[in-house]
Amino acid sequence: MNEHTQILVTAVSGLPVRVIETNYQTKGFHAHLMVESSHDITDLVQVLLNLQYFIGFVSACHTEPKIQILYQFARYDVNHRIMIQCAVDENNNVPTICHIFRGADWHERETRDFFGINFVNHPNMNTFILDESDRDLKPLLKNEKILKSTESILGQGNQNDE
Amino acid sequence: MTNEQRTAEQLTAKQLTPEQETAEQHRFYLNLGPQHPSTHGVLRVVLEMDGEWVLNPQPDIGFGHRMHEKMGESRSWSQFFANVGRMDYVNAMAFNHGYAGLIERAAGIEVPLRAEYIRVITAELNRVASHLLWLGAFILDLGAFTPILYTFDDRESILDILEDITGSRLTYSYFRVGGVMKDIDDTFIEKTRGFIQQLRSRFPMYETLVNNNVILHHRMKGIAVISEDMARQYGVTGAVLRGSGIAYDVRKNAPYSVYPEFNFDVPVGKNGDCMDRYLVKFAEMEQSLRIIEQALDKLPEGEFRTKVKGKIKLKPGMTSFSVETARGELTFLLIGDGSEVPYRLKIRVPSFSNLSVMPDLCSDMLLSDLVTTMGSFDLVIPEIDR
Repeated sequence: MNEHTQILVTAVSGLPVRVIETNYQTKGFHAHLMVESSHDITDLVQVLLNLQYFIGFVSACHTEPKIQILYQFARYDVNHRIMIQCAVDENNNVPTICHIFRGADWHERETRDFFGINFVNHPNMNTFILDESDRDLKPLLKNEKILKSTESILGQGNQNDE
Repeated sequence: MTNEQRTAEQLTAKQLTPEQETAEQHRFYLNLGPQHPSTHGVLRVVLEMDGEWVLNPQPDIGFGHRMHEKMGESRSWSQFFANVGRMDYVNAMAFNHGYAGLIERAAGIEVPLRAEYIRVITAELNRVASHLLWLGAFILDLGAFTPILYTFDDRESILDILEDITGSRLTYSYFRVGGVMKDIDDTFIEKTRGFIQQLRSRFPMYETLVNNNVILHHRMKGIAVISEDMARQYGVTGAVLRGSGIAYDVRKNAPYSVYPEFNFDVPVGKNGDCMDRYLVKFAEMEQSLRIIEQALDKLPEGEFRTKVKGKIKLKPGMTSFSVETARGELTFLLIGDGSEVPYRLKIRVPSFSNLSVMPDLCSDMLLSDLVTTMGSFDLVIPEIDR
């Protein structure tokens, strides 16, 4: 296992997070972190800040049954890039991380615009990239015809295939 | 109680000293943009002002939003190439590189060595062109008109060189999955070598006239200092980050293409202010020239494009690909579903994260310094809006 992934695994051992090592050459990131409950996101992200990761982006992907929220973090000093995946809860809520990584503010607002996800405790959930009149447009949500299951798109079996 | 009475009561309740009262009277909101020369595009910044001082700048973006991410979900790779060149129109080649690299990584396609060399040469030429545009425009923001005439003259030579092989001058769609659209010829190599000489002969002039100018120093030194901690929290990348002394460059840190085969330095600053960001960006042009020179010397013979199937099936799962554009780290995240169009395509652009520092960084700053700071960020707004 990659030494930096190993450090990460040790650091998050107390949290309900599953770390799956991925092949960097074919995937472009070193580890895939699956978080069971969105409540644990803030704890995990705090660990990442302490480990000196910087925030790449916050975004999402619409799958069945729930929208998956995606975070990317990387390091300045070494080549280590990770993806975090977590399902939103039944009310489309996710806790904000912008009090830990202040830059998440804009990314979360953009994600709200595109997917209608509500970031709990975010100081400003007004529209950002979209116009105020398109507040409920949610352009990146898929219609039922093309909506696919989380398992088939982002399931664990897809992570290690070559 | 009428509204007036209420306001009067509130004012008395505040019990302001005469000085504070005068200060309150000087507070006002100022709209910088959406049409303003120093925003370099359609960007609006709402400034809460106290006289000449900016108390709270809040950027308002999205005027040029085109939803490239949605378009990416309905177009195959060949159809989407036209889009990637139109996000960062100043450094379109880097976006070409990112998207081609992404699809190649997802589909496991090997690229011929010659094609990778051509990609590096054109991408670096485009980076120099982007830096030259920034150099002129930034100095113009600070009130000096002459340098932009010289930098545009130099940039023109690059555009001519690239036009010959790509067919376009700004929004290139030159890369293909598996290689590039057209091979480079001897004329291209000759012209590029000529250009390297030409630009190198210009550097001393820029250094004496611009870099050593005392007014420029006064405008930039100690302005808008970004600390390492702040950079990490906001995900700042590119020259904006390297000005703060952190040598993070995707070309070195997470090498892609054939960059490991070239000797080049990553210039870094020390103080993290506008001056250091300026000097880092200026020094990067010489490094790009070094890369181009080495690539031309070592340019291998062979194919410039490998044959790929017209329809590439994208496997389920995530694929990420990052490149260093002229402004910082660009990341494409692709989620496939087995068909030839992406199920989801996330585009993480550097200027978006770099600009997000602004409310924090530029509070309690003079308006003229805010313009300097925005100039040092080298913003390209269509890239932020996507």
